[in-house]
Amino acid sequence: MSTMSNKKIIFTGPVGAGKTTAIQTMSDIPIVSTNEEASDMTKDRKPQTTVAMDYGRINIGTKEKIHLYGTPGQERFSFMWDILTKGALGLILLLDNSRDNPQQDLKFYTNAFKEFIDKGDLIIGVTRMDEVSSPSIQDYRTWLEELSISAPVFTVDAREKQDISSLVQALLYSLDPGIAA
Amino acid sequence: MSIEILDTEDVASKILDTEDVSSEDLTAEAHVTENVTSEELVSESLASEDSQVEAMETDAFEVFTTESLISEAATIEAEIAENTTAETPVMENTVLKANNSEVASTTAVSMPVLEEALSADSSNDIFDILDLNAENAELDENETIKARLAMAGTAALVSATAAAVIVNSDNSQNTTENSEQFEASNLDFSDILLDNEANSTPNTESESEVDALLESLILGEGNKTRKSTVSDDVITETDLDGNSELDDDTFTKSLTPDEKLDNDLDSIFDSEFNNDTSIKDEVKNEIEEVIEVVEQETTDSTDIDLQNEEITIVEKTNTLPEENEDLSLDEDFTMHDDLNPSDEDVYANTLEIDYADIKAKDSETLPSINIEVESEETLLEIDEDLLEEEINELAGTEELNETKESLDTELFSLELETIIETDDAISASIDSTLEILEDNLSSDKANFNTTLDEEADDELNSLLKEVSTKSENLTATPDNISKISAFIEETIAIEDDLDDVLENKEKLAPSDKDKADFDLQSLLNEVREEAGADPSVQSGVMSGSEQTNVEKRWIQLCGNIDSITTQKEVAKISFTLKDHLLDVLLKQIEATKDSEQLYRIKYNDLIIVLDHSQDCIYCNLPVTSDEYSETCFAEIEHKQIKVHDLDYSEVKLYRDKIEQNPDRAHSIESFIWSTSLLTSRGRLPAKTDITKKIGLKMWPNLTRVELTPNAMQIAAVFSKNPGNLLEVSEWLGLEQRYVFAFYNAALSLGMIELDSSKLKKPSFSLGKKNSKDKSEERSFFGRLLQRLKS
Repeated sequence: MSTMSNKKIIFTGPVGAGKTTAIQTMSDIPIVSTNEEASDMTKDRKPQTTVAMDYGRINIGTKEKIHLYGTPGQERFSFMWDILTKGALGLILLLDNSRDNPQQDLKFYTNAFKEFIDKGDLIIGVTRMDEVSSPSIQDYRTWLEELSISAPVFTVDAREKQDISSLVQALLYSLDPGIAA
Repeated sequence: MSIEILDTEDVASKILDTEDVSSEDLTAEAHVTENVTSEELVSESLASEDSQVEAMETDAFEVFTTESLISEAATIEAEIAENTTAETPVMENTVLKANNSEVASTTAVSMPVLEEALSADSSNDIFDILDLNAENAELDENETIKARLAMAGTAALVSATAAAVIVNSDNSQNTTENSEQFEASNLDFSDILLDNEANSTPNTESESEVDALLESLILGEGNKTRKSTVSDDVITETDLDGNSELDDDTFTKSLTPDEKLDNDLDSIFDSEFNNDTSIKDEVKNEIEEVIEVVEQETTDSTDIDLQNEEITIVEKTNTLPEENEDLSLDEDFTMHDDLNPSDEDVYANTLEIDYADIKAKDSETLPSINIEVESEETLLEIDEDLLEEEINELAGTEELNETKESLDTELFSLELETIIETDDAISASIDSTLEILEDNLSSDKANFNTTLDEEADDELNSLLKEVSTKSENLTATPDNISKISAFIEETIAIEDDLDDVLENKEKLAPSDKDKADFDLQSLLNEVREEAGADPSVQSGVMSGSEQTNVEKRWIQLCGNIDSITTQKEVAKISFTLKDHLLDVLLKQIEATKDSEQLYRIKYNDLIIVLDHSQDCIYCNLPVTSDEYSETCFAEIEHKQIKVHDLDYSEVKLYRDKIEQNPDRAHSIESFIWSTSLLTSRGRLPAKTDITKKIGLKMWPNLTRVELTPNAMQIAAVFSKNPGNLLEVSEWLGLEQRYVFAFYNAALSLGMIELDSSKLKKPSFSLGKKNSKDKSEERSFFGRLLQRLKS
């Protein structure tokens, strides 16, 4: 078995962006979560929050698999970010369009994972756009251009497998456009 | 006394201006008033500014108004006038508003004159009496003339007043109200009389004569004849007197029609012309002549007609002077006579007679009715039997109906079962037919291929045998050489024929296969339509249909053009953007991108509403419809394009439509993406340089646009490694139309980087041979992608 058989993809983003849901949507196994009762302002958005990581897996055949890791959204658990991103294929950043300042979230997470983004690839999925249409996808593109970051930005629903699958496919094609299904 | 001293002075001065008489007295009066008030109030008003207000609020002070002062001045004036009558007699201008007591006294004074006037034989006698009174009053001639003139104008009033007095006297109720009535109806006359009285002494002889006349009038029957001669006012007054009216009615009803006519005529004559015998005789003669004429004309008339003639006669008397109103009253009375009780009795008798006739007629017809009733009873008995029979029959019919219904129900259920069984049988037969057809097709194809192969092999073997046979006998002679050459040519020709056969075989086989597939598909479609209710059959076909629809849609989006290899061939597959709806749409979006206003683009039946504020486009046609696809692909008539901004009501309308049909609302990006694909259909815009390297500035929102084959892969290539359209197509191993389609859509959205200087550095080299690890990685990613797409 080659080294290709154990690669991982990281899902990151602010609290409530849908990381756990996205992993749950794509995983072939029941996800492993480290959820705890929210005690801070997070409880205004959801009753529980990830404190260490979420884990899921996509099986390819019987032996090959892709590991899906979700980072904790809260900054105080940021020590986990570097641990989880080590050796990852790429980063999928989920942003919640209904939050107060999605642009600030974009800046924060692209800066926090800057070292990884420079080496690997970044795909951005914007959730809850059906609830709040502004800012638009074009706004995110403009913010990325201001940050000198080139990355695909897609509207996604973390509950829709097709959407999350598109994020993963875009990541794979970004890694190697020459791959053929 | 008075606060408004100045008002008093003003009023006094006005009176002095209008009345020369006793001005000094009035002035003196005013001065006296002023002097009185000055002593009491002026000092107080000087002491305090609020003294007048306090004085107004004090009940002890009497407030004089302008009207009260005028009244007071008038009283003073009357007193002055009374004192100065002897010197300056004022008859015509003096108007006194006397109270009831004054009227009573006035009446007492004037009654002798009035009664004397009533007792006179003619109106001239009234003037004679007045002249007598004037003489008695020792008035001068001019004053007598004035009195005569006044009396002439009020002659009728004299008569009316006299009648009123008569009626009132007849009732023996000489009350104060009667005096007031008298005054009201004869005020002017009373004034004149009073004026005369003021200038004369009472005439006791005339008074006694009038009293005597009044007594005779009150006690005599002449009041009935006089009644019809009085004016409307008096008639009204007498109508109010029930006793008088009752007597009159009784008198009138007691007469026969002829007597009534004579009585009416006599009344007219006696009342109106009894004072002038000449006129009376003349009019009487005239009326008699009229009556004669009428009688001649109505000799054959009935009593009712005669009564009508009475009306006619009375109407004819209307021509007499000053008698219209009286005669009209007579006419009214006559009309009322038509409704007298005698007529009612006649009607009642008539009714009784009619009723009796009816009863008699009824009694005559009763026996026949009884017979009919008896016969009906008989018939009813018969009908009952018949009815029972019919009921029995109906019961039988109901049973039959029930049986029929049950049979129908059973039949229906049987039919249903049969239908269901038939459907099952049809489904089974369809399945078996399909299997047979597929088997037959496969065997036919196999047989056909076998036949072709056998034919080709046989021909080839025969040729080879011939060649080998000839080669065995071949010798190097010129003839043989020529024969060999001929043989080679023949062989070549045979090979060519063989190639043709083989080629035909290759061509024929697929076309035949397509034909067979087409036939099979047609058959399946027919079977599908016939057995559409069968879900098993339908579900099996749907997947194929869906696949067909996907392929059809891809052709709409990406076209099916042939690939090109050179720039010159671009013209074959290019289109002019400005000839299409896409150009109009893009220009409108660009022109209004900073506007909050909504715009509507109308082209024939197509309506597109652009809403930048909501990042939304509403289209009345589904984007996936063939109609919209054709509209985008075809060249447009620019004259048919209409663009206008929406007002508030229209905005609300379209917002409601979007809410009701969310599938018709699209993001601007997805709508432009689809429209661009439908417009290009795999073609390229005119003058596109297919050799120029291009890149992708940003990825389309591929999760929310209509995907084309390999769109994500193409986007990744252009994003990571700029290249020209042909290179990318070649390197990815994709059909050009897919790359061109993506290029068109991304170009319309402004995502293609055409500036070479802004292109990114390639992160990898297209066409570079990959290392082993890279190959392994690509293989792994490929499997992962396959897993994700599955």
